[in-house]
Amino acid sequence: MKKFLFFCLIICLLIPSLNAFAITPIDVTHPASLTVFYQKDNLGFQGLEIKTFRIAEVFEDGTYKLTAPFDKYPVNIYGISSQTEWKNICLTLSSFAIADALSPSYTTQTDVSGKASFESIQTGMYLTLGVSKESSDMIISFESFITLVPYPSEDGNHEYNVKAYPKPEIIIPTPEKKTHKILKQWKDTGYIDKRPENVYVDVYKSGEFAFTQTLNSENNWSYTWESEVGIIWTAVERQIPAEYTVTVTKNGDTIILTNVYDGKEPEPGAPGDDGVIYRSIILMCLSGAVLVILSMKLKRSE
Amino acid sequence: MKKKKILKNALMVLGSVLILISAFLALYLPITQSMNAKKSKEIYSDLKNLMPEVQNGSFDDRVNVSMSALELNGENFIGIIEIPLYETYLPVAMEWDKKSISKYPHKFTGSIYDGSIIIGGSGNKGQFDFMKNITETDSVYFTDVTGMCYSYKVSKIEVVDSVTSEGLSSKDADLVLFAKDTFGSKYTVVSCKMGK
Repeated sequence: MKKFLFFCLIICLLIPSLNAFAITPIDVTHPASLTVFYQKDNLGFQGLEIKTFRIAEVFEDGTYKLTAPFDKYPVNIYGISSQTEWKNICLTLSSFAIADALSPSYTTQTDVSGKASFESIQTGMYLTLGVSKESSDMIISFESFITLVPYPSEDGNHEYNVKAYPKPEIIIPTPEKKTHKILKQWKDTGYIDKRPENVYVDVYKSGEFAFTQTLNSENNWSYTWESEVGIIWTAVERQIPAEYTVTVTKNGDTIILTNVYDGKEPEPGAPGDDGVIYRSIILMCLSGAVLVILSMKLKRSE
Repeated sequence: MKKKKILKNALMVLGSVLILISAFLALYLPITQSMNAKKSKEIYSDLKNLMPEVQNGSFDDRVNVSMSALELNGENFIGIIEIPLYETYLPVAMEWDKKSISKYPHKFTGSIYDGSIIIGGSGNKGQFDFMKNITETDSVYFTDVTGMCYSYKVSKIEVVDSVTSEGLSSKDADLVLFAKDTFGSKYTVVSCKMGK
């Protein structure tokens, strides 16, 4: 499966880089804009409805904090440094936004050149939901992404008019169906007794609720189903246990919901093998033989 | 005289019992090991079917390096280890447990994502017995439960009398494998570095 890449968005996502590049503080009241180009081979996609959510406010020093309603989700967005982790956060928050039918901060449609413009927006961290367009023989899909507005420029200042170019993925529908999977994983070494007996996952088909599935040890915390090619499936976990945060990731057609326990991994203890070993068996056998020989010698001496 | 007779009989009985027990164990252990090896293969196969599509993994600078685990039939696994040259395909359990490393290898400590992972196993047949033959530059692959496959090359092989947590953690390696040999006298420690 093709890997999705986040072009210049990758630059935006590297928050430590923001601090590394930027010398001037962010003017949080400065008017800002976000322009997103939905194009392929210089061909724009007109009429796409683009929704963007201001998920976090950004402060003068470049730090940020989740805003309502995203601050109610058990998702950690702090101390993140890698693209992979940001991509996972993006997928997790967009899954919740779709599942809970959240109202976007701003909505617009793409023009004939495929350009979606959000003018005079607040500074902050924005999640823009993915979109797709069907044509006669293919489906073109643009994934969700997160951008920081403003983003740091190399001269130490900030660019308040941010441009983004999400990469398109081409899907060719086929008559064959595809197998999809939801899979539960855990990051809770040393705390597995905190796990619930069941987790409940709501699955959405192209943004519409499809079904709820219970995952537990009986089904190895997984569920598979088939569908036509080109449908975008998302999933969110409900009733997340209190001590856990959740991350949604995707690998191929598998949606992975990972619960992360907020606790330090315990020390493993000493390495080494306590099992029975052949040396002990040999010693035991030799000891037995010695005892038998002694016994026979005692008999002869009688 | 009577006492001598009692002693003679006691020695004979005790000696015979010890010989019988050792004979029983000598027969029982290989059978158990064989069963463990078979079970381990089944778990490996089930894990592979449960895991997402395998892709080449790449290392990034993530801060949270904890590894995800998949629960399968009540046991938790962080991935699979594969050494095709020696037909070694094993699941790796999430937590260190000395009592069950005869079944399959366990993560001792660390993480794949920051090059600190240490995996301990048993030198029994069907598990880490490849250590008798492994050589430098042999390839080792670890696939985590998200389907990301990481490649390593063996950089050093050591045979030592004992292992400690500090000693294993101080190896110049991105992946360390260790196991006690079948006769329980020495440990083999295999250090691996990232790379195809």
